[in-house]
Amino acid sequence: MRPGPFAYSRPATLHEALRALAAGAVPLAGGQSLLQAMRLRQTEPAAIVDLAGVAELSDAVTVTADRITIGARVTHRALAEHPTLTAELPWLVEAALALGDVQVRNLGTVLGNVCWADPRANMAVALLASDAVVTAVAPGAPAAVERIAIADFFTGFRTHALAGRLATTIELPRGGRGRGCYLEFSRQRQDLALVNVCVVTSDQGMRVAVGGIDPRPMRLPTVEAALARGDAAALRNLLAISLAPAQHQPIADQHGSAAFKLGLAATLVRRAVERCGVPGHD
Amino acid sequence: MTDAALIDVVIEVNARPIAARVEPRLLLVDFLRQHATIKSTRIACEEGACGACTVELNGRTVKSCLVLSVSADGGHVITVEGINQGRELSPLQQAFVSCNAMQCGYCTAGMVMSARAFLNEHGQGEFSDDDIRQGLTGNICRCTGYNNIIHAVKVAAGRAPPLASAIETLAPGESWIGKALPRREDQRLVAGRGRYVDNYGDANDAHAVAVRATHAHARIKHIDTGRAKDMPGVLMVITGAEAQSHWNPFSPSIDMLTLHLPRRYPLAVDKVIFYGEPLALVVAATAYQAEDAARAVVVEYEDLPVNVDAVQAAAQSADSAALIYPEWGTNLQIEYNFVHGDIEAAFTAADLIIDENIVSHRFGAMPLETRVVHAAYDPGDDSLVVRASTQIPHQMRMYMAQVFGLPESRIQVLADDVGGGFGAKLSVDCEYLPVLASILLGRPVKWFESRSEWMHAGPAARDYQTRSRAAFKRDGTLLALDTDILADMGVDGAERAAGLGMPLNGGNYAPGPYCVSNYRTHVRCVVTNKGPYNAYRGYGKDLANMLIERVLDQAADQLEIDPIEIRNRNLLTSYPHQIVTGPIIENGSIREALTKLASNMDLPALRAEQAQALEQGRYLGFALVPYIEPAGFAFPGSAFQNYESVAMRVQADGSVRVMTGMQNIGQGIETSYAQVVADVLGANITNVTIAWGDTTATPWGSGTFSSRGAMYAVGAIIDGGDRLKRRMLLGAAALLGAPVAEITVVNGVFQHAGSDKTCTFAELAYACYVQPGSEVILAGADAPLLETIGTYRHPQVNWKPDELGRIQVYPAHANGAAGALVEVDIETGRVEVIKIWMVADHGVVLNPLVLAGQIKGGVVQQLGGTLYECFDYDERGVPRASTLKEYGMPTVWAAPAIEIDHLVSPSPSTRVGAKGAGEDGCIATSTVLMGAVEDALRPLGVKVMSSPLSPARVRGMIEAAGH
Repeated sequence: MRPGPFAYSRPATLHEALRALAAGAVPLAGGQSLLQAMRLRQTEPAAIVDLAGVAELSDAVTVTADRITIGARVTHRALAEHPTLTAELPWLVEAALALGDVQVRNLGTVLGNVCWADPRANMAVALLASDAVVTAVAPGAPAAVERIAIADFFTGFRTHALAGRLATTIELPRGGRGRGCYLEFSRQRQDLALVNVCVVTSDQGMRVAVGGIDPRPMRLPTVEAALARGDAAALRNLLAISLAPAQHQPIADQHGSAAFKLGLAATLVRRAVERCGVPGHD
Repeated sequence: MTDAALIDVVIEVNARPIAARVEPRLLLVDFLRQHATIKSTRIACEEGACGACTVELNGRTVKSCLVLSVSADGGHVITVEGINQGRELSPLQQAFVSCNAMQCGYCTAGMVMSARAFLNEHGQGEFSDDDIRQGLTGNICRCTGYNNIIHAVKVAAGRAPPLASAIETLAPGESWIGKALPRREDQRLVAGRGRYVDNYGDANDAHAVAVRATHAHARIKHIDTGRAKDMPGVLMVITGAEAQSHWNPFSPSIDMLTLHLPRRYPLAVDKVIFYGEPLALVVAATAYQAEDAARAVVVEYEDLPVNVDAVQAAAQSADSAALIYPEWGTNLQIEYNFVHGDIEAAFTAADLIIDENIVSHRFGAMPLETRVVHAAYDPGDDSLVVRASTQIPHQMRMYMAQVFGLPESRIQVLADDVGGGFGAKLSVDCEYLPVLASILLGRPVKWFESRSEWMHAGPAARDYQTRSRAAFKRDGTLLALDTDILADMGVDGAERAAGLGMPLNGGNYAPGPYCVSNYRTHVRCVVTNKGPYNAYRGYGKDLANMLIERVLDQAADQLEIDPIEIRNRNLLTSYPHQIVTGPIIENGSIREALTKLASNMDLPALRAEQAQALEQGRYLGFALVPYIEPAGFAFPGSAFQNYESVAMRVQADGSVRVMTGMQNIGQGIETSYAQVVADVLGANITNVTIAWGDTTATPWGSGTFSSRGAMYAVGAIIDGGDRLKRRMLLGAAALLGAPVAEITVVNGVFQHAGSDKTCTFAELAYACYVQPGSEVILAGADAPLLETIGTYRHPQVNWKPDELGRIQVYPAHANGAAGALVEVDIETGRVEVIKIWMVADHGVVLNPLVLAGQIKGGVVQQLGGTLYECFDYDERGVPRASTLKEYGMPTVWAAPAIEIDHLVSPSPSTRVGAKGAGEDGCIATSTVLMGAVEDALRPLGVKVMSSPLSPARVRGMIEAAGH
């Protein structure tokens, strides 16, 4: 099938893009998830606003002393090739390279993947473990940049906290020395993730993010706390408790039961912790 | 859409600016195909999974189906047409050809674009096979099994030697048969010039889209087509009830006496019987408009009980509301029994009884090209031209004539390149829909089945629930075998599809190459409210292999006999060997194959590696089994006959044209048949053309199925070629003034040994056609022309039943042995197939490069089916998979290392000595994967008797064993 009919605009300024957004247009960046859904007619937007020409939306990763900023039009490929990200946040690069395939990474944007807000979206999970901030602007106030902590960004299955605003960048703090690891489980290698995890350990503490076990990507605070205490011996038990079926709603599909997916999540977290070299893991 | 909403775009395509005014929703792939005359970018999915539409956009590869043409405005596109160096192929394309890195060619242009991008980026530095895989992740190939593609990338980078090189002339004493010649069709396919159905037609075509059932079993209460009829561009909306007076019910693929046929129409009339069944047809000026309007048709249903479980469906009573065809009084489409010997006595006398339930889940062929039709009915002379993606153009013409009541001689079916078949295009189902539209509208109509339509309502296969019982003596001697097979036909396996023979084959061939005379089989083919059940590579020989080999593994285990030893104790000891159910294995090397395989695998080394891995907590396992590959199916009561013919002509310029009713679906017939022609006639191979796929130009043929070409078409070529050659030698003798006996011919040149005088095919042909003419040159020949019909009938087919009612429908039995090494991640249940070994014996091989490609492709196809692919339904009969990703198409990451070795037992009844080939990989792969996973999990006590071996299921088996 092909997409249903829609009106299309490709504004040159943020102001115009926000006006289209306010009128109900759906933003199109790389389009690698949106067009797929439109082709299957799972979504039929009446209007599309193509962000490719908006001058204020950057396609660059900018690095300052205390922060890395990923522009709205930065592709997965560009992220994966960026030397600072490779050196300082390699788990983001792992997540980007595990996403889709060359063609999808060439067009798909990091911010677009986050805004698609699928609970298994690679970048959503990896950024959730990275203390990221999404910046956004609202129609009518393009100069007033609002900051949304990534932990507050995802609100449900493919829904987010933007509420009519346009996401413009992802900001990541610099300075903390950290290690991290992104792992996903798919039936074949490099396939759609059924479950994915990102574990980051730094002097600011532990962050464990998991995708695919709830309508939105989730952190596992009790597991993080135990790891931060160095109580890795308890990891297996804590994972069993934190990932008990009663507490989660894994994405329902034909590829495995809730228990199977929660089991995968526990396995991946343990493996990621081990890869990160957190002391005392079992 | 108003003109104002259209947008002007200019996109530079292969350095040529293309301007068009387009709807915003026009996908780049459609822009390229419709406005830029680019045909290499193809559509095989709806989700950007397959990569067949891959192009370079502004320096980066993209999937052109996931880009709006308006977004690409001002951009630069390069397609495969743009990388050909003039008329020459680029080095990368040449590497694809020299490695047989394509079969049907449908994915090839996109694959080449991804390979090119990979080499541009990494070609100068170090790279691994996994780096190549990373570069090709976004491109699915259904035919090759990927290994040859990976190799071709290395060849293009100068890191590996090509697998074959082109040869144009034969050295003295050599023959073309047996040469690993690169495929001639690949020159066309690798350049993006494959001629698939969607290449044909023009902007004046109307486009048909089916309105499909969204309930699996329901009465149709009302269909409202009013809104759809008023939508832009709509030319016609017709329901099943309205269409009924315009056609006859489906023409069946298989029509045996004891078989129930549904007698359905291509559009459902009063009730729907599976999700996705077409119930109305929308025709509009563009495919986009037709899709819009199809969604505006409103259908009211009254639900009926849904049959999704074959066991329950089989048990429905004669008056049940759940019966799919109440007039049958049952859900059984056919039931078959065979018994020989004293089963009960054998089981009573047994030292060991193995009793296993063996299950193979539902998956299928899934060629990259879906079903596509371009139908052009001309009301002026009541004639019909149908272009279709089919394996059986001649039967399709026959079926079209029957369904539409048209004289067959007014119908022409054309099937040019076909983007994969694997059995799934052996019947005619939705293909009638655009033909109806063309007849009613009097204009050409195109229909292109979407991937989700194929997923929901396309052909499926396998789906067996079985019980296999075997009685053994303590020493491992097999005393008796008793099999019970329940196969889920979906709504039909014989009328709109042709899969019904698969479980019957499973029952008939389960004794396999083993000596067992006490045998019973009970086969039930039950209809359910799932999609149709069609032929698929392997055609039940996979089931037969599983039924006996899994049981032998269990017996070996329990009797503590080596698995190879227990097989050797029971394998046939002499040829010909008649299987108790009737088939005769004419000759072969089944024992030698197993021995050779065991040696190639180096079992002691594998056992040591396994033990070492286990110490590190890694679970490796391996298994090996022999197999037979019955080929050349010819069945009474079906359109699959025991003959084939070719029309052969030496033309006035000396070129040779052979026209066959076999269909090229990617199996390389343009090359392997040309090799036979060149050998038989002594022709210059570059002057030999194989033509196919035109019911008006070629003799009637049964088409491509059951690995029959190397016997049937080749036999016909030899028959006709012998005749032509005798005439040509006579003519050459006349031209050279020498005795016939002293003339030899090779590479298109006749030579008189005594005088060194020569003449070419061209000179001889001109002498026959023109000067002095055939009455002079061919005086004394059996006929004065360089044209003949060659025919072949396989002498080992026998439809006369013996006293036990047994016939022989498979005339040839290739054989071999297959092995697998796997690693199982016991925490996640994921199975990695590390390596597959094959030892294959197909008699004399026409082209080893082509054969190896067929074997590798089949292995990965069945591996994908066993591990990932699944047609799954919920309790309401709604399919769970709509896309290739959900279904689980194997990608380049699924392909293990595959090592192939050969034995040669020439067929006693074909002159070349060839048996059939092409299905090996789909016969034993499931069995050895089950065995290998079981071997890996032996320390945990897990038995593996069912598929899919998906992570969730394997993990479940491990859990059930208490781990």
